[in-house]
Parts: sequence; structure tokens; C-alpha cells
Amino acid sequence: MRPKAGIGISRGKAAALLRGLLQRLAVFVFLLVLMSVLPRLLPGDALDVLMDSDVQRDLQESERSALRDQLGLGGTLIEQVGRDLMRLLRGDFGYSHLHGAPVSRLLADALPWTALLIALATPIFLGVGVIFGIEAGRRPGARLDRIITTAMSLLASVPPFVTAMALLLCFAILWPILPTGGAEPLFPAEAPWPHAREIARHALLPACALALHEVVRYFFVVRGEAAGLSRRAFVINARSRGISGWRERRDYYGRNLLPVICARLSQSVATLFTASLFVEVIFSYPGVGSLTYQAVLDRDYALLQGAIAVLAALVLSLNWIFDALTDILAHRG
Amino acid sequence: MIELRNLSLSVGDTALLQDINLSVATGETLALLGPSGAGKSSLARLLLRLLEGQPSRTLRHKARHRGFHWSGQAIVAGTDVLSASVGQMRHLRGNQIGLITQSLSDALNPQLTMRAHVAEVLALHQITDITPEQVFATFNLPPELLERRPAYLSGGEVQRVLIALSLLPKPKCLILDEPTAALDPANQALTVKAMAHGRAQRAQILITHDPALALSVCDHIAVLDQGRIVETGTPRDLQQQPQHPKSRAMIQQPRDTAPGTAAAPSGPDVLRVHQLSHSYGARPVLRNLSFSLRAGECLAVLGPSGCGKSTLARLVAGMEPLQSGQILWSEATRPARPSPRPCPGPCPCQIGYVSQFPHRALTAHFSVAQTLAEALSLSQGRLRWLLRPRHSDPATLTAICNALTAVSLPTDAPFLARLTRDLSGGEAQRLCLARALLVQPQVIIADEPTSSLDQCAAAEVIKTLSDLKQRAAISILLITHAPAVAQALADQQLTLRQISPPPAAMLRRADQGANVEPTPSLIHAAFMGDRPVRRERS
Amino acid sequence: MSAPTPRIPQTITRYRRQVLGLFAVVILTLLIAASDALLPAYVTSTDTLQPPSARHWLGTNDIGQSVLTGLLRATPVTVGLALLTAALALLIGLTMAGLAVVFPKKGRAVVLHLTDMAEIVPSILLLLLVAAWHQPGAAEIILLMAVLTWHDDVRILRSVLLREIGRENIRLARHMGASWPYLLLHHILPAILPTLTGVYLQNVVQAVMRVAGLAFLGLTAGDLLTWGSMLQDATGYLHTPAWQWLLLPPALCLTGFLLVLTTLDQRQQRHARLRQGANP
Repeated sequence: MRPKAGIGISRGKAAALLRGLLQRLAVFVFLLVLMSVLPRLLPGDALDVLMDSDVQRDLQESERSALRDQLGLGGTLIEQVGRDLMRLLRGDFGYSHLHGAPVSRLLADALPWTALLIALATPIFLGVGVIFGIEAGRRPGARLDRIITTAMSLLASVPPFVTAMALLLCFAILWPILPTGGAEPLFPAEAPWPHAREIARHALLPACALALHEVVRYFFVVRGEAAGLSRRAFVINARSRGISGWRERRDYYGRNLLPVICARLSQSVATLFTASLFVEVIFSYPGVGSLTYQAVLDRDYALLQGAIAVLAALVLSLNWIFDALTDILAHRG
Repeated sequence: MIELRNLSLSVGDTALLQDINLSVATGETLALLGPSGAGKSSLARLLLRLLEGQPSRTLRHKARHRGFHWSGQAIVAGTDVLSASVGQMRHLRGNQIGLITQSLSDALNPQLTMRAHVAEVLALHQITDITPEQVFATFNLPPELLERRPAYLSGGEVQRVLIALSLLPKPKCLILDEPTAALDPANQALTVKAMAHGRAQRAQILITHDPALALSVCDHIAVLDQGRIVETGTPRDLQQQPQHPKSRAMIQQPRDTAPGTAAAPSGPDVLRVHQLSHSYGARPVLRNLSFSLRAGECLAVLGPSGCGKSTLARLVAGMEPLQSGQILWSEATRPARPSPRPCPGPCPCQIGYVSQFPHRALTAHFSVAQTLAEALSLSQGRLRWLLRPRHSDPATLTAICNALTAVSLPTDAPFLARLTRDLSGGEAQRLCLARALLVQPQVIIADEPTSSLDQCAAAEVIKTLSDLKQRAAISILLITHAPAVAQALADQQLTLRQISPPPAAMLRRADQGANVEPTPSLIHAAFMGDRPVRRERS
Repeated sequence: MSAPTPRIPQTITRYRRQVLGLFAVVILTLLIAASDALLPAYVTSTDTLQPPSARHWLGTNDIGQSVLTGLLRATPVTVGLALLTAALALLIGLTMAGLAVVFPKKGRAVVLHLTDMAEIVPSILLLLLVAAWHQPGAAEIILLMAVLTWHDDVRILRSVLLREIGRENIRLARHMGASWPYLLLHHILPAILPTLTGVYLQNVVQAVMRVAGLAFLGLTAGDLLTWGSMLQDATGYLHTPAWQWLLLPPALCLTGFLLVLTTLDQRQQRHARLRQGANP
């Protein structure tokens, strides 16, 4: 159906994508290096900083030096950093003494929960943001537009963690219809369907909190673009041919907004992870965010290092994929 | 049929159209002929209620309202569209009334193929007896276009697709808004042919500023001037005996250009341009251009847009580095004082440059006095570093007032304190002239000085320029695309042509009108030898 | 013709907005500087978790500190942090944009690459990383946040600068012999001032959100009292009635401040649009 010329990527676009990939690699390596340099640059014994004091108290001097070697604290700074990097790139994230488990397993346990939250939140914020944005932007300045835009401006002024706390307070504490925290009840149901229902009930509030945070951004982006589209000749021509309603919103606004929405998604990857950190902390949801946060509070260095490496890799690669997708879509338009 | 009764359309507190009364019967085509920028396109959108605005009577504060508002009646296919409900309008659009607009670059949904566009209209109006292939065959469109997106169609093809889409539901009324303005002659002919498709079954209004199109395809012509219809008649009547001076000017303009008999001044040459060539990257703009300008003379450089006129102006003004050729100034134009900074290139500082967009050439947050004081300080080399030029000392003030008087602007204190962004286009352009005069120039280079102004302001600026020429004996290099401006001011004219090969039709027309004989004259402008120059009135 | 006397009031009316803004900034700075001495001490007491009463208008927290005093003391810190962070980010952004404009091709590419990279750094990870070793105080927060947010401003500032420098009035004045410092000060700076204000306001909004978020996670220095850290104190009491006086006041303050900022931003945008509309 489509012309051949519409699908391929030109050479310039490919070069831009490659450049994006290299930039992301550079940023990733920079984060890793920073991660291993930072604790070693601080004054005092790196071991003191790296290990929680509770753990350290019980250690003998011989154990300390063994630990030192194990943590890669021997040799010059460059050697140490190099060893750290190689180890991380091999996928060996070490062992969390506090949790008593390998970091990779902890992360593998936590990631699906975060993914579930994001997967639930994405259709909500995309749907609400895009539909409201198109409705408001289709007739800029009309009454509907003024009402929606004012409401969204109000929502935009509330910091996301305050909205999350308000949700928690309203629907779990003052009017307890949903659980206050966790991803599943203490004693999960055996049968698959009730279990799934329990998980969904637990995920609903955090997912909504996450979605509320992003809805505002999408709304304003889509509204602005739709207002621009509503003045363009092809939309006016289409309306003069009698095209209206669902067909107009889908084929004329929706399809032309796709590149913008996609571009926005690439930026959303990072903000979603950030927001999920807040949401998981507030709802004590066992995802990567709260795991990382706990690692910061406990100074669980191995876990923090592993979590940051994995999260950075995820964020950067997803964001590159969405960028590439945007380019392909924009090329078609 | 379409009937307009006492229709008025305003934006804010300026009236665009006033008391328009028209009636077009089925099978007729009426041309609404008027200058561009007079609200004709807004009228087209209003008739389909695609204009964002409201009826005048619902406005509470008419003066404060910035959008469109209208009054009167517009009866299209039996319904008054100005009071129709949203649902009624939705039914009317497409079914009863169609619109074909002028812009072609963005006229179709970039995400949909032609087939999707056609299928959409067929589905919307429940037309089942015809396939998209048949539609394209009917409207003379090659079938391979069906699978393409608008980005891969030419302007003429887009226009014909648009016409096909509008005519598919067989509307009883059709509004054509400059349908051929952006097309070359070959495509224009095809478009006119497509428009004629089934025109006996509908009433058409053709909105245009092109008298030739109106005369050739319409049954009636209504001439619009300053928002009112000044004359209505058949093409024949209007062509033979136009009643109103405006319609005469509009319709007969191309033939009625009797040259004036201004005596060419015979001063010494102040400027000689010799073998000037210029290119942007690989694209040549000017090639081997030579001419000269005498003291107190006005030389008009004419030509289509994009032929290098503005480049020529900037080169002569020294605002762009010279690539090849020579620009020679006479001794008289050398600056008397040593300039603070050596001017780049061979140009003296004593030239004034007036540009196309006066507001762009002025700093928006400067007052009139500040603008002129700055120019004065700069020309005297007094402006040092960070201090803002002062305009309170009597000498400066006198100079400023003299310059303002020379361009017939007021010199009172409130005007001096006005910010340039609050000036009207005409005032701003004259302020630019005044600023140019402060340098005490021998030559003023005016690059399209009137093209961004409305008629009134343009007339003021032209009058000011001709005053300057006569009283101050300043030479003017006038760059313009409007022959009327050149007629009014110039002693000599010089026409530039596009260097890159123009479309075949344009080239033919150009060759017919050109004088191929080499002319012994003051003006030599030769482009590649084979593209000759037209000499008028030299 | 124009007497010199009316010029000063005229200048003031013309730059009324700027003068008022400057005035507000000066007063704000003074207030922030003097707030420590002016406000009552933020001391612990035995009246823990008291509901609002005549003695403690907004109640007390878990260690008996008056919430109202805390709120008042946190206000200048929160506002000051946001304003300074935004200013520093704007300064860095403006410098980079300026460099991207004046540098020739190679240097420009370097600056733009740097901006691109700064854009894709996941800032929350960097913050967590830093906070894990050292909980940042006021000065470090300002520095850290500015370094993490300047990239937002570069593109828009660069395009505005390019537009203004390429404008005909600048080219003409330059042609007539004006120097660059003069042009920058009198022609370009006033012209880009509306954009600068808009960018600054958006920076402040971002800074408020980010600093509050960091404090809410408890990752700022312990003695730094902000609305965000007060919110963090309140999270433990959501299940008791104490949330009404522990959570609501700082949350409302934060939201109110952000609302004021966004309203200001919108008004400023409308104003700029109107002015542009008047002069095509």
C-alpha cells in the first residue's frame, strides 16, 4: 500500500542515529566511571564508606583486607576503576551483603514490578493526555479548551509526589478501598485469577499516580501541536469536504501527532523511571526504584552500583529506540 | 445557488468587507476580483463557517475584540450559513458546498495516500458506484498517484486531487479561492479544465486577484475595492467600458502604461557597477551585470522575485562581500570625515539603505529619537562602546528634526518618544528613510521600499522618495518588482531575469517581450549574453 | 523640544516591569538574608504531635517543633534555592548558547554535542549516586541542579540569539560602525529579555520541583529545612490524624508557589505574544 520511498531511512538520518548511539554510550561509560571514582575520591577509608558500619563492626583485620581485595580496592585509582568497569560490563554486579543475595537476582526480582507499573501507566497517560489534548487543541480558545487547559495547569502545579500522597491518602487511608502498599498481599492467593486480581488491585494506585505525573506533559505537548494542526490548510480543506468527528480526530490529528508523541516518549523514559522511584517509595512497592532508594539509604554500594548500571542502560537504550522510531515516523510525514 | 445579503466582515475594529450583496444562480460563475490581502480568503472560509469568530451582534466590546466578526446573511443552497447550527453546517459542507483553496504545499493530509483521501470522501458521502481509479480517470489524474502520499505529488497534481475531492459529492455551490495562483501556466490550464467539470449543475464563486483568469472563465465579475463592491458586470462590459476607476486600473492595467516624459538628468556618474557576478554556494544569482547611476537620477531595477535583486542591493550597499566584479563610486560620495571603521569593500559610508521590511530594520524597543540619534552618532563616529547615544543636545535635536521634516514625519515630543514598534508600516519606512538621510547620502538604495506596505502607506513613501530626488538631488537605486512603483519614480529601468532556467512557459513569454537588439545605452545589463535586457525610457 | 525633566519618569514608566522586578528581587534577597534573625527559633519541645491550637497555630511535629515556624523558616530557603538554581542554570545555558553562536563550525558542533549528551544523562541516577556518598547542602544543591538542568535552555536561547543577531537592524547598525558590546547591551539584550524571563520562570518551576523531590526523598543535608523535607517528615504520619497539620501546610505552600510561577509564566507569554502580534 505504501510507497517504497516512505519507509527507508536516509543516510543523514542513519548518521544522526549512529551519533545518538555513540553519545548514549559515552554517557553510559561516564556514569560508570563516575560511579567507581566517586567513593574513592572521598576523604577517609573507602572501605568505611563502602560498607555499612553495622557490618564492619564485626570484621577482623584479616577479613577487612580480604574484603578490600574482593571489593577491588587494591592498586592505583585507574586500575581500580578499570577493574570495576570490566566487571560491570561482564554483567557481574557482585553480592549485596545486606540483602544476602546476588545483586543481579535482586534486580531481576524487582524489575518486573516496575515494568508492570509503567506498562499499566502508559496507556492511561497516553490515552488521557492525547484525547484531551486533541479535544482542547482542535478549537483553541473555545470554552472546552479553556476548561481543560485550566484544569491541567492546576494539576501541573502540584508536585508529582504530592499527587501520589494525595491518592494514597484518599483511596487507601481515608476511604480504604485499595491496599496502601506492597505489590501483593502477605499471603497471595493460590489460584491464578484471584492472584492476578490482587496484583492489579495493588498496582492500580501507583500506576495512576505515575500516569497523573505524565498526563500533564502529554496534554500540553499534544494541545500545542493540535492547535497548530487546526490552522493548517489540509485540516481546513478536510473540514470543507465535510470530514468531522472520529475520522477527523483519528486520521487528521492522531496520525499527524504520532511523531510528536513518539518524540515525547523518548524523553518520557527517563522521567518515568524518576517518577516510578517516588511512587514506589510512597506506596512501598517492591520495584527497582524503591530497591535503589533503599540501597542509597543503607549505603549498599554493590546494589546501588548494579541498579544504576542497569537502569542507565535501560533508560538510554529505550530512549534511543524511541528516537529512532520518531525519525522514521517523521520521515514519512 | 448562493446569495449574500448585506454581508460585512471585520477583524477587530477594522472592516474587511462591507455590505456585500451578490447572487449567483446555478450554472453561473462569478468572479470576486480584488487586491490581495483584502479579506477575500476570509470570506471564502466564512461561507463554509471555517473561520474562527462570531457574529457581530453577540460581541460585547467590539473595539476590544481581536478576532473576526460578521453580520448580514449568506444563503447557500437554501440555508443561511451565518446562523446555521454546527450540525447543519456539518451536513452542508461537502454535500452542498465545497471549497478549493490556494495553498498547495500543505493542502492534503501528509500521512494519507491519495487512495485513502478519495476513499474517505466516498465513504463519507456514501458514494458506492465509483472506485478511486474511476475518480482519478475522470479528473485526468494518472492512476499511479493513488498510492502516493502528498509529499510525492507536484503542485498541479495536488490541486487537481483537491478539485476531484471537492467535486466528488457533487456540491451545489463551490467557492474557488485563488485556485491557480501557485501554478505555472500549463497546470493552470489543466486546473481550469478540471474546474469546468460539471459546472452547469452548480453555482461557483471564484475569488481571485488575477483579472485574466476572471475574464476568461467567469460569467460575471464583481470588483472589490476597500471592502466594497464597486462594480459588477459581464467580462465583456468590464473589458470594454469599465465604469469605476478602480476596475479600470485593475482590468486594463497591463495595457495602459503610457510612459511619462521626465527629462533624464545629465549629471556625472556617481556609481558604476562593472561585470558584477554573485552566487550563493553553487547557485548563481547575478552574472556579469553592468550599469551606472548618474547624480540625481533614479534607476529602477525590476525583475521577478528570486532573481537576485535584493542581493544586488546588499552588494551595492556593501552589506555583503563582493565576489567578482567591480562597484565604483565617484569621488563625491567619499566620506568627508574619516570613518570610525573602514567600510568593508569599496563602498563609501555615505549611502543610505532602506529595506523591504521597515520593522525588521528598526530596533523595536528604541524610540524614534533614539533610532535617529544612534544613526547620527554612528555616522559621525561618536558612538563609543556602551553608552547609549544622547538626543537631548540642541545640535542633535535639530538634525533629527530636519531629517524627520524631510520625510514629512511629525517632530513633536510625543512622536519622538514613540517606540518604533508602535509605528505604522508607512511611518516606520519613512523613519528608515530619515535615518538614511542623516548620513547625508549621495545615493539611497531602496530595496522593495513599498512591497510590505498597504497602498496608502506605499503612496506616502513613493511621494517622499520623489521629493527627495527632486529637492535634494539624491540618486536612488530602486529595487522593486512592481512596475507601477518604477513608473512613478524611475528615470531609467533595468530588468533582471532569473539565471537558473525558468519553466518553459515563462521563458517563452520572456523572450517574446524582450528586446534582443544590443542597445547603445547608459545601461548595460547582460546576463550570459543570450538573456537580453529590456530597455524602457532611456 | 523635549525638555530633559520629563525623561526620568518616562524611563521609569517604560521600564516599569523591569524596575518592579528588580525591586522585588532586592526585597526578596533582603528578606531571605534577614529571615534567620527575624523568625522565632525552631526549637524542640515536649508538646509532640499537637493539633493546631492557640499556642501552635499549625500544630507541632514529632519532636515538638512548631509547624508554622518551620514553614516560615523553610520559605526563604526553598524559594531562594529555586531562584538561585534557576539563575545559575540560565547563566550556564546562556553561556553555552552564546558559545554555540559565536564559535565557528567545529566549536559549535562540540557545544551542541555536549548539550545533547547533557540532555540524555538520567539526572535522577546521578543525584542518587551523589547523595549516596554525601548529602548535599544548599550550595551543593544549587550547583548540582544547575549542572543537571542547563541543557533545557540552550536550544531556545541559541535560536533567539541567532534570530536577533541576524536581524536587519543589527546588520545595518554593524554596517554603520557600531561595536558588538554596544549592540549586545542596547539592541540584543532588551530584545531577548522576554525570552530570558520566560526561560527563567520555567527554570524556577523545574528547580522547585526537583529540589522538593530531592528533599522529599531525604537526600539533602539533614539541617536544610525546606518544604520538601517537611513533607518527608509528614510521610510517617499518614495513618494518624497528624497528616492534616504536618502534610497539608507544606504541600499547599509548594503548590501555591508553583501555581504563582506558572501563572506568571503564562501571563508573560501572552504579553510577549501580544507584543509580537502588534509588530509583524
